[in-house]
Amino acid sequence: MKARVLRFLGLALLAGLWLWAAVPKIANPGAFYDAILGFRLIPEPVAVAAALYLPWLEFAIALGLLWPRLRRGSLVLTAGLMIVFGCALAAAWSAGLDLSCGCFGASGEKTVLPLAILRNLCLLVLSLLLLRFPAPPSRTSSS
Amino acid sequence: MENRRFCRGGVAGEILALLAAALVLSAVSYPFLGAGWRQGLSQFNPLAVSVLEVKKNSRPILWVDARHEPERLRDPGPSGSVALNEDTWNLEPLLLAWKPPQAVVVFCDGHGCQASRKVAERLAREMPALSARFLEGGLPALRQSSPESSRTSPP
Repeated sequence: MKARVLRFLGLALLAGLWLWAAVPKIANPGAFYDAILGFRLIPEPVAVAAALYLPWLEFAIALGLLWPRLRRGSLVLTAGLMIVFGCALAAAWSAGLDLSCGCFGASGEKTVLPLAILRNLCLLVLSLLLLRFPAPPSRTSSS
Repeated sequence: MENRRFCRGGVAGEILALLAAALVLSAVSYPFLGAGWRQGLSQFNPLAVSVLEVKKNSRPILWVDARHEPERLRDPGPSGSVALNEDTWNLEPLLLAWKPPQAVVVFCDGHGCQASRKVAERLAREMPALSARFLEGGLPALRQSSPESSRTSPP
């Protein structure tokens, strides 16, 4: 019972964070495009595609985490994106960039990159734990 | 059951479904953004460089002072800096002073001033080999980060 509650809380946290991250970017992809370019990692046409696609992927992952049939795929994508975003943040940190990561839309404030990397690491560990320990079998559930 | 599904590629199918759903959603939503979704939003300039980037840069720096002479005389920038602005566009001092692999960084008075951006953009057009950039925040930002080096250190 306790494991089930912890698992639900973990999934709700991840889904909430993805939704929180996705909605402002969907509403204002231009600002997200600027944030992506600020990392100086990818050329402009790729940044345009990423600015239009990634927010919807985050949105889809958030919904997928809440839907049991897509949960494992969503967790794998969460872990993958945390690694990709973490590498981008680490590259920006090592290059000494002073930027707003645009992680949760355009805040205008500069991101404390080590903290953002640490946050991503925590979310990566959480998604891997949720993958490693699937839902315990339920008497009422057929799956 | 779930583990067996994972091994048989169930997770790969889920991932593909999510990637495809995101693709469909972004394609469907695109027309609603309107043609001007990027217009006026981009503050990003690929020629901009922050003080932190300059400090972490391992290459020596040739500073280019884009301010006018009265301002330069009143408040000298980093020693060894070369004067160049759009009004008196004379590249000779810069070309004489530049020694590869020096990085060329143009500065002016601060966030409000556009001279350094204009000089860097013109240098990028006319002398792309210099790979000139301009300093975000200008001289005040440089002074704030390292008050000593912005006055005395050679480029």
